This record gives sequence, C-alpha cells and structure tokens, in this order.
Amino acid sequence: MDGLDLLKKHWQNDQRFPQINKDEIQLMLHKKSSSLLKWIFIISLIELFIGVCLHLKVYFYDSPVETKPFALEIFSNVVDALLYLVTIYFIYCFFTAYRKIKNTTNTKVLLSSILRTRKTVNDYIKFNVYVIIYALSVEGISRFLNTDMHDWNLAQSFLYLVFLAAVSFLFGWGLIYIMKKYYRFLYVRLVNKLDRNYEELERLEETN
Amino acid sequence: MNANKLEQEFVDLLERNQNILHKICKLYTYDSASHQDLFQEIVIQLWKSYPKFNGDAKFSTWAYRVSLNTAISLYRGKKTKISTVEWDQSFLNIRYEEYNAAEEEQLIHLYDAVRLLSDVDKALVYMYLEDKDYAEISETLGISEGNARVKMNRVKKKIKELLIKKGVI
Repeated sequence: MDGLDLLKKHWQNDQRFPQINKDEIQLMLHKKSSSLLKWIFIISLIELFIGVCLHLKVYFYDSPVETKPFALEIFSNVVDALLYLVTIYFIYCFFTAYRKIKNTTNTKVLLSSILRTRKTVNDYIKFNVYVIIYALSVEGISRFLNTDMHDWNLAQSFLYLVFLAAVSFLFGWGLIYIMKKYYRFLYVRLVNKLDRNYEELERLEETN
Repeated sequence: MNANKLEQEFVDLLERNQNILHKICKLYTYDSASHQDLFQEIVIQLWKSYPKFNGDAKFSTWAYRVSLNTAISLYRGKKTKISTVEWDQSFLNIRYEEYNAAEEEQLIHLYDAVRLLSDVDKALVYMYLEDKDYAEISETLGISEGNARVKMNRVKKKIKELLIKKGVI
C-alpha cells in the first residue's frame, strides 16, 4: 500500500476524539477570541488613537509664541487641514477594510483582506512619521527665522543653522529607527504567519 | 429565529460534526493544550459567522472551510518550534490491532512528515485525505484548479522526500 493511501485509510477511519458535550460547546461560544485578527484590530486601534491624539495635541497646545512669517503661517494652516482630512481618510479606510474581513471567504481572500487592513494602519503610521519629520523641519526653520541674529556674524548664523538641522536630523533618524524596531517586533508576532501563507498562495499563481 | 434557538441549533450541529474540527486541530497542533486552544478558537469563529450560514452548503462543508481558515489565518499558535516538540504518539489514534508493526511505524512517520509541512500544504493534505475534488480545493483556498493540482503533486512529492530523508522508504 502506498504511503499516502495508508495515511488516508487511517485518517478516514479515525473517529476517536475526546468528545466535547453540548454544555462545553455552549460555554465555548461565550469565550473571547484570541485570534490574530483580534490582536491586529486592538493594536491598530491603539495606533490610530495615538495618531489622532498627536494631531489634537499639536492643534490645541502647540501654538508657538514666535510668529511665523505670513507665507509659512498660511502653509502651516493648509497642511494642518490636510492632516485632519488624511487622518479621517485613513480611519475610514481601516474600518471599511476591517468590515470586509469574512472568515467564510476563501483562504486567499481572507488573508489578503486582513493584510490590507493592517497595511492601512502601517501606512498611517508611516504618514505620521513623515508628518513629525515635517513638523521638526518647520519648527527648525521657524526658530532660525525668529532668532535675533543682529550681533551674529555669518559663521555664527551658519553654525546655529547646522545645529538646528543636526538636532532635527537626529530626532527624525531616532524616530525612524525606533519605529523600524517596533514594526519588526510587531511584524514577527502579528503578521508574519499571514504574510508567509499569503505569499505561498500568491507565488503558486505567479509561477504557474 | 430567536437567539436561544439559534444557539441551540448551532450547538446541536457542532456536537454532531465536531470531528471535523478535531481532525483539523490534529493537523495544525502538536499537543492537547494547543488542540483545545485551536478547537476553542474555531468554535468562536464558526459561531460568529453562523447567523450568515444560509444552509445552501452542507454544515460540514461550511464548517471545515471556516476551520481551515481559522487554522491558516487566525490562529496565533504557540511559539514553540516544531522540531523541539516531542509530540505524544497516542495523539495519533493508531489502533494497534488494525495495523502491523511496519504499517504503524510508517503511519507515525507519515504524520510526522505532514506536521513539518507549511500551513497551506497541510490544508491540501487535509482535503486530499477527505477526498475533496480539485474544484473544491480551488474554491476553498482561492487558487485555480490547475494550480491546486500542481500544488497537490508537490505536497505529495515533499512528503515522499521527507520520508526518504528519514530512511523510511
């Protein structure tokens, strides 16, 4: 008998499993899921919430004492308005994508819809990192333009500019580094398995 | 249908069809604690989508698809590496009086080989063992029928290679 035939014979005759009775099943129905999707949802909500809090904080508390040049002020207001629109757009996309996840669809569609939902949040976080880097640059430029440099010579002004640029760069670089570490950590725990399984199905379609 | 009646109906159906879940848990887990864990998660996922189960498909067909989806896409699993897990062979349910020593050994190695496969390959093995046709495999996994056939041949080859590597055949 061929190996797999033997396995099939055993498999099909195998009905001896510890049986779960109706009461136990009933109890199980009311337990909480610990699925990857649930964790992805919770973590995504936390990340979206942090993103929104960050924008609100900037809006309510971060009104610099220094006055920005008029053009920069207008530009900042336009960017602020766009930030809110983009945030609303990301939240809309996240919930729309989340609602499309159905465990009754085929495996490939299910995997792809979970990954798409998570990607929306990843994109939102990336967007926020860019926003923070942008805010740092604007802050640096504002400080430079608002600093009283009457008594400074060109070299001092240049050094001050280099200092501001270096601080902004280091802060931005540190932020990107932390975010990359965070995502590597999160990726392995949450999405790695889904990604691997999706890639396997996708690769099959590509190579044949 | 009121909530209690729906719940009762679901519990009845699930109790009758629970071996489908047990079999999938047997493929995707390595010990009884994980088996129970996955079983529990599948029950939750089935119950969650049961109100939309319209009865066009057989409950068993619908249940095995949701169960496979749960094992492949939703179950978090244990962090333990497969190679470090010494699984309990009594878990395999091999009734000794039905198989001779050589067959028994071969069965243990076959299950061992299946456990080393990827999640997707295990799904194919499950459907092969359950005698599902390629149209159904294609529909369940979301790949074309031709690719389901190709993939199935690769899985069989992979199992054979694993057995050769172990010196079983």
